[in-house]
Amino acid sequence: MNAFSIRKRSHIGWVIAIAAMLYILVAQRSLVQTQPISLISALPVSETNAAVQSAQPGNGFARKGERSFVMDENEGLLWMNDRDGRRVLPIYGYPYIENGRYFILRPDQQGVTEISGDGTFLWSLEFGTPITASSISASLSAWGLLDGSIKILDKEGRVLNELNPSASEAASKYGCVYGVAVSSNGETVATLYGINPQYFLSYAKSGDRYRLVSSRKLDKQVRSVQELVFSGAGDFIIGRTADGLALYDVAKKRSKIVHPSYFAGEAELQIRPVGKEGFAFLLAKGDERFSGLIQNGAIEALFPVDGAVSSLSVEGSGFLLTSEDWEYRYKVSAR
Amino acid sequence: MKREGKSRERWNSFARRRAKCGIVLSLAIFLFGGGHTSAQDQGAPIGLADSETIVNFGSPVFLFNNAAEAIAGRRIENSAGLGKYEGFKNSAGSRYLETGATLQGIGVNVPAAGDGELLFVQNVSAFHGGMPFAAGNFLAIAHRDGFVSLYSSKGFIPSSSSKTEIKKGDHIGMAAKAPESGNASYLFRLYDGKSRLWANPALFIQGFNDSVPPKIKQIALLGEKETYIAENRKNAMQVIPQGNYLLAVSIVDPLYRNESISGLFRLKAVLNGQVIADRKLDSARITEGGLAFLDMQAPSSGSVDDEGRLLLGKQFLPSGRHTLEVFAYDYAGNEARFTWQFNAQ
Repeated sequence: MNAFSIRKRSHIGWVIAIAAMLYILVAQRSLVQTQPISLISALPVSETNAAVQSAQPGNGFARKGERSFVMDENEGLLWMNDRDGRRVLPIYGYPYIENGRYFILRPDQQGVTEISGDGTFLWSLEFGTPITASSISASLSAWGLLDGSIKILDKEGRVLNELNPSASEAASKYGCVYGVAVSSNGETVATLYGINPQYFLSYAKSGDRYRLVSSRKLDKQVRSVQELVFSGAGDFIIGRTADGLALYDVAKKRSKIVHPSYFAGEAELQIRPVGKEGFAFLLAKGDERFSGLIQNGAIEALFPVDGAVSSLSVEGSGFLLTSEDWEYRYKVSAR
Repeated sequence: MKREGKSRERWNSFARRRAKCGIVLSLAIFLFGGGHTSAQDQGAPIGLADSETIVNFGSPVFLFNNAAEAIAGRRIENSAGLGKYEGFKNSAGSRYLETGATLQGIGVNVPAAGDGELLFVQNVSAFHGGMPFAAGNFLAIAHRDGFVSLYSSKGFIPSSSSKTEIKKGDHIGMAAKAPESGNASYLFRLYDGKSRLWANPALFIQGFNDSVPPKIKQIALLGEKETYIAENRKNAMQVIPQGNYLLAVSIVDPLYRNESISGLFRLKAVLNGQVIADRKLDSARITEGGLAFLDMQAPSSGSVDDEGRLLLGKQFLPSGRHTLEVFAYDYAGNEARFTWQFNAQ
């Protein structure tokens, strides 16, 4: 490729970038006021980041200079790479990178192994039924299972607690965990549980055990995993249910369903905490994508985004939407 | 008839195990008391047809040992630091036993094994990130009496229908075709929620077409310091030190032409005429520590060593001449036998 063609490609890239920004600013008008959010940039994904992301389809996120995992479909093996990108350990399993922790899931989704940042084996655990949902904090992990139980593990992989919603007041015909969230201090656990009926449940730690403190029976029910996420300060939990967005106030021990018009029905929702009490979200409804911000249970902003956007991540006080080719950076302003 | 009788016997054994787990047997007897044929006729919650089935229940899977072979045999660009990854090889999480069977669908369609309700769907996500779908896309159906059937494969596409009530035989998804048969190939697993165990899918498959016995590849006595592999020498009898040993056997159920593999089902060891182990792969109990196969302790990695040998328990071998007979049966009733004579000193 000669210098002229490189320059030409570069110019075309900038033209497309500017056009995309204009499209977002003008054509994609917000559905809800957007005062707290402003688009900072819309740029083509850099080659470095694209390579890192495409190497881990659906399997977490690692930037250059961190340990990464590369699935070699031909060999049927996962290769753990060192920080220089060299292959160091082949594994028959699937990587799960969350909150700076590295897990390997078994191919039957019924066991998990944690390894350290330098690739050393830490612990391994086999579950009775496949994992359907999970929540990872720096010191704890919660694993929701097909049989409706939730195992809460410490950093060494020891089972600290096992929650069985069927043993409390959740009298579902069938038990299954569709979503789980554990607070970083382990004091609160929320779950989307069961079929016929489905419940949004919250537990608070009382001594060594968890006590059911909030139970909301839902009218409609999901059959697939949904994200449940704590706010940055740990005061709220939100997650999508088939009735709408479920919100739990930890201090008041009260839950409610909000915004059914946006979040109910067939949809997928990715949620990330922003600041102490906010949540950025990415909503998929068919081929359409929407993003926005939720504060104190209220939608502060909701706007359509590029239909190819496939991930949401938080950067400082803002957030980043990424498609295969584009990165859209948003800033969240204090009100 | 002989095979049907054996099938009934095996089902009754499984049912007894369910009873041990505190489950009322009435439904099981109602469903399967008359053998496989009548079980399906009577509307069993689960019924599967045999079509080039491969039962993997109890087969070992290695997460890191195979990987270690890949290191040894193939490319590895940074071999300097491999020492620290040795910890993976013998860890509890380095291996596990499978709980399913590979079944063939109807064309590309995967049929439901029984009436039930859609319990869980794991399908391609619109988003990247989060927990990986390690088991591929999968779908779970809750049946009556606590059974839950699972259908999965890497190429499995669950049906997009919003129907949640499912009838036996309904097409619940599509899977990639197996190269030989042209039919969908998918993993089927069956979880018994009431009894807290995984059931061997072979128990629910009618009329296995499997005429080949399992193959006993190796019998080993694992001592504290040494491992002794069984050999029947022509000139001299093998000698091992007296002491406590763990009996380990490596067995495969081979494929023959277009037949099915009904899978290893029963292992019996007889020492000097006394039965020292008689274990079945009819189910795996769910315990706090994971899955318990062959009446061994959970997790399932505790039932298999790092060479892929199934462990049948400890035995003291006093000084003297011994005869160890190992019998292996597949679910179809085919038998393999290995007799080993040795001296302990």
